[in-house]
Amino acid sequence: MTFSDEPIVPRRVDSTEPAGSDDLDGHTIEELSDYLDHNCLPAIASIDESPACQIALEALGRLRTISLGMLEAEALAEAPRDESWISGIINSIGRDARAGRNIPVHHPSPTAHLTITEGAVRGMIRAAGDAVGGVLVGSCRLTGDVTVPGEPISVDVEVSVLWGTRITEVADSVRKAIYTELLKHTELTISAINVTVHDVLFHRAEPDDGIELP
Amino acid sequence: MTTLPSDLAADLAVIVGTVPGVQVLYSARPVLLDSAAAVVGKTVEFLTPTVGGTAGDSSDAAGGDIVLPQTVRVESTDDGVDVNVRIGVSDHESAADVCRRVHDEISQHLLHSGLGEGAAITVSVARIG
Repeated sequence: MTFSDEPIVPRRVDSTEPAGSDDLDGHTIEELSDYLDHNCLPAIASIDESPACQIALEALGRLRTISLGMLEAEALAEAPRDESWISGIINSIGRDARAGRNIPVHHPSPTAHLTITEGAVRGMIRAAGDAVGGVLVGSCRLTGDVTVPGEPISVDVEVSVLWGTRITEVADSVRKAIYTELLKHTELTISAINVTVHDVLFHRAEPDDGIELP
Repeated sequence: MTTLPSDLAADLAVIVGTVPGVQVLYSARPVLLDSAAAVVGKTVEFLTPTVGGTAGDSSDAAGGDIVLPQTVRVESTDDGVDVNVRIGVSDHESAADVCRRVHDEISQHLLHSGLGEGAAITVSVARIG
């Protein structure tokens, strides 16, 4: 499976964050994908020194590794089609990596202003989900006012899973992995972690599997 | 307005970089220093990563130039000192705890330097893992 060269059409955009070509510290997700294609060479300082770009690059790298062994389920039943699912994930990676809102970290000093960016938390959530076997995180959203300490927050995650996995078990594993990381790193009050399985993917068949793929 | 030691930003960068759990110290966001800042005599000190501790040339500020991204931003204000850092932290340690540790180390250094009174310290975790 390759990454589409087709222009990526922006999907739904979180109203809390303005969309734009320079959302990732002046870079687009397409530029980062190209940068990854070239093994991040020659080095571009504005990418290498940008946390948002680094979060996105890490997610793109995982996406490529995981998607090498996956094939969209519909592809087996239909004629070859565009790879909109993967471009959708790429788009989501770009959106989720943006710094977004500032999530407060408590400190007793009145002159301390400590925060974790929403982008850092979403990147952490995506990494936790991707680490669960047979799962690829599509999108991640923090719903609620994360800028107010103690405010109940829900986490909405869309994932793709490999065919043959028990969806309820995988969803539960994703939920636990995300909750563990959120408890460890943040002081958010988590009211719910909603995991939606958006796609079911097949393993890419090897030539000696005896299965002819489109 | 407090006069800042010329090597304060460099010292703070070293201190922050050695806090357990800190993986990377990101550049402060590019700052456009307009002529208004020069008029009020704002003293802004930056650490240039490639120079290794040399403070930015404040004459750039008077000219209204865009100062290139720096790692630690230290600013003298009417209320005291304003320190701003962005960090990336290891996944092995709690990001919130590392954030507090960084604040406390900066605060300690400012106190020892006689700059602790009213110091505002902003620490932002921009990446985890």
